[in-house]
Amino acid sequence: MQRIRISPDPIDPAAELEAFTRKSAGSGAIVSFTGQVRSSSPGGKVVKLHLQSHPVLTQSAICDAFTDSPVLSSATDWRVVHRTGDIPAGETIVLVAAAADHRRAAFEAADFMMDYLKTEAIFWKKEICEQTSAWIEPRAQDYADRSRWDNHGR
Amino acid sequence: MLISYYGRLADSIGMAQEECALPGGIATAGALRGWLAERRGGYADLTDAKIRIAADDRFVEDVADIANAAQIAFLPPVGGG
Repeated sequence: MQRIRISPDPIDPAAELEAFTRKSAGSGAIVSFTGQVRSSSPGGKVVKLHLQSHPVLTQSAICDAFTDSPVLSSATDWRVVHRTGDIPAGETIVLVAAAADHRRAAFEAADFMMDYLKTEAIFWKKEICEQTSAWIEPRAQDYADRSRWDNHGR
Repeated sequence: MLISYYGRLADSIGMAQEECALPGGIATAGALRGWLAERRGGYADLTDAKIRIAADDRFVEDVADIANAAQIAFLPPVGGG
């Protein structure tokens, strides 16, 4: 099973987590996070998000960052499922899951993966509201969250 | 050469992809950026140094030779997932 899947197909979080849990049988801890399209934003009521990726670079950059990550080296396995294209409000954009021998490493792995995805992953995101639409860039808080990992384990 | 524009660039330029034949003298990524930016309309956005360039699915600097590349992508700052 591929660790990273980027596709316009809808995500079934329960099915993904079940498959990951089955594959990670014997791990002491499994942590997952599911991100959904918010139904409202400062721009008003959200109709959908448009998520664009690069056909090669998006996946290879995530793979490089996660394979080299000391945070993920403590995990026994991990998974990223990311949807692209037009995603209606309320539907799942992303699921990450991490397995480890103990809970702290699993929590940290899932947390790190999301902080990376929110700031560095090669996606472009347009929020389409009822009246307006706008390209969204990471918030200052997203970068602050990401920077927590810079000296991890040193 | 197939040129792709991602994210907000596709909106400002008005298309996501186009086929271009490079004129003689345009051999580097930076020269291509400058040549395209001289066109009317949203192409001027390409001069923003935050717009990264990929040649055949690899990030390149402006000094890189791209004369023989089949595909060029212009990538604005990412929005995150």
